[in-house]
Amino acid sequence: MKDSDQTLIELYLEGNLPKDKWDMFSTRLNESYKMRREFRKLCTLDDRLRSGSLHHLLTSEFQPKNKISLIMSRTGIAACILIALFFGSKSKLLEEIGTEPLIASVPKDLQANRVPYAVILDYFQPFHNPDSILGCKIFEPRKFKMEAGGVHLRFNNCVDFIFQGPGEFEILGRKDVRIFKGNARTMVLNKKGREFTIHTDTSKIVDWGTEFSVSVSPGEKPKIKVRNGIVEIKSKDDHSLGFLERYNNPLNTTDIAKLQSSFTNFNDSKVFQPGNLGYKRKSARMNGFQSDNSVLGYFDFAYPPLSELKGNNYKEKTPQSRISVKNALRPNRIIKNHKKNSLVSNGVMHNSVWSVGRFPGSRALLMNKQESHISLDISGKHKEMTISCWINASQSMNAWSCIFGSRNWDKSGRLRFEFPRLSRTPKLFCWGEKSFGYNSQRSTDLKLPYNEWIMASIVMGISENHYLGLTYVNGDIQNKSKAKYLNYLEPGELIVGNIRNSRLSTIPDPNNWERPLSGLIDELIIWNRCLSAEEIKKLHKEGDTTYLSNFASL
Amino acid sequence: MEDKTNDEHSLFLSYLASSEPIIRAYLRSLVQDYHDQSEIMQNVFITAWNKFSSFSGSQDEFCKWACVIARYQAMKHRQNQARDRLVLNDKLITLIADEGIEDQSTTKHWHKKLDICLQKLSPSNRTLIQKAYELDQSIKELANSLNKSPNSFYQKLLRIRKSLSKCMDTDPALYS
Repeated sequence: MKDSDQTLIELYLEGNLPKDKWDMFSTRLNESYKMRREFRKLCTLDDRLRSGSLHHLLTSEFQPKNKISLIMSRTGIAACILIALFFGSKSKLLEEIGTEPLIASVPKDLQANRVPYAVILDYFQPFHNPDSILGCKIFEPRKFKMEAGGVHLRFNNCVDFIFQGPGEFEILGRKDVRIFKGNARTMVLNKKGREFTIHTDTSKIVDWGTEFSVSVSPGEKPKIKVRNGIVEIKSKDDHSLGFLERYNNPLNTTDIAKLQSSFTNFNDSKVFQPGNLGYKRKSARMNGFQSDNSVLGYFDFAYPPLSELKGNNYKEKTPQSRISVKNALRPNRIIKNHKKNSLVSNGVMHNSVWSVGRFPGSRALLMNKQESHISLDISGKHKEMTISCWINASQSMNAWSCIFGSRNWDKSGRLRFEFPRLSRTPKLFCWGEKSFGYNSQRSTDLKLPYNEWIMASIVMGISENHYLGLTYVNGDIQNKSKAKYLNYLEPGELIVGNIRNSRLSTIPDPNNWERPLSGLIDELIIWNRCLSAEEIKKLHKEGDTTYLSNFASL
Repeated sequence: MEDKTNDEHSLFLSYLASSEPIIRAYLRSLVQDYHDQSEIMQNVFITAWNKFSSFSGSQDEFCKWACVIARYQAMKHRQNQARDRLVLNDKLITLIADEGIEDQSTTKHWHKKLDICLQKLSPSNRTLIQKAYELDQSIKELANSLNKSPNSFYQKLLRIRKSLSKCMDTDPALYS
């Protein structure tokens, strides 16, 4: 066989065969048995090397636990699918979100190795717990009915589909969705997602790598708005009616009259964007905390309404014609505690600025200066307490950064939750407990990531006659410490961000120290009870910016 | 599906364990895109499992039987492919598919031989070719990470693949 034939095969298998070589390649394959044999051999080689690398990836993540799993480690994905099917056949999967848990009773480690039709990245429906829905994988055709809210699905790692209720839709496959009623936004994320098709009563809308929105009402023409790229409209029997470009401009080659009779224009400004559902979950959580008596403080870092900003913060001319600021404490410096009549005060921010939050449309506080912090008061002594917040830390040159802690370090009950620059493992310290945080059972050695939203939480209370302090990162327990002398918490003035030694002054003193936190902070919640590990996990899952973290895996 | 016993399930798994690489290689010759191939493989396994109660042959026959399912699934996939996508014509694919099923013993020999050939490679070449097939890295990125020009790196890969291909054919039994 010629060398050039082998090169053609190699190029074909790599997906790099030039258009002008296709004819030659087909003709040579047709003519020569030797080339076809070589082709099959190189296919065997190619597949073996590719699946070899895949197998390596699988075995490094998958820990076989039983006999069946050992077989699976050899046959990889194949066995996973079969066992998933075997168990899955016995489980009832729901057809409608909001009535039953969505996830199949297939073990999670098995599902992980089967390529699903779609994954639920974000979800929100009023009065329904999203905990069991988020991250769920869809493995077979499924119908969804939503009274309100919406769901954000990622199909086959290449198409984002955000459905907005009220309405009904059905997943038909990895590239096909039927909408019976409702609005949706579709975004093709890579080449693999081209030809993602939305089926309606009257037509099919084929996405050729773009972003577009669609609104469907039973028996009516679909309403369409193309944001980017090209969309093709087809009749029900698969005949092309034409192509639409950005802002619904027909493509030149299209029969415009035919195309325009197949749809109507649509203003999609209110159709959900990626991240909107997470923001809605956040708002719903806030309402839920109002009725929870164990919540002492809930700070959502929403920008104060304009009406509140007017306040009495203005410049005033004194009789001597000098200008002075009437109120040093401006209303837009107050971080509101949404829990009314609480033992926790509003917060006041210092040297911080408002910035973009975890979700589009939400706000967070940026601490980008050495002195940046928020201060708030927690009154009284508390036998039990949980404090949780979301931070997005950036790299800092300081040896330690404080997430939150008591300003004064003068009596029992004071606490500090901080992390060192080198290990980046958060540690909890309490006044009078010399070895607290060190003499502990460490579950994980998590290194706090930079430039990523994470949820850091502490839980303190009595368990089995011991006063315990637990720390969690992203819902996973990270540290558990027993206190020797501590019986209650009395945080006093709680500082979020930089804590300084109170002796710090203009006079240089080698004993002075400070613990600046560089980064963003969002959603600080304080309870006067111990949250269980499940509750912490749920809190993290509901508050996670799933749509963002999943972009990294594309 | 619910009527299937655990014994049947175990038997299916054991057949699958030995046949999977052959089915994969067969499917690779019918589907150009590796990602598509993985998807079709799943459909093949699901179909094979659903129809397993009607199968009563030996392990060798199972491999052929599953390859026929794979062929059907690959053809079905071709019909669903984009109109403007370049694909080999139906006649040629049918020819390759038929030869693949008829000549399965050769594919099995290639598989056995390939393990030995990979071991015969120098450790540096073996690492290099393994890295080149890792899914997340392009040739250009890999060449940059190894401080080599993409062209020379590509040529090196071609040479390694050729030597492997040659090595896979060295066993005289293959020509019988």
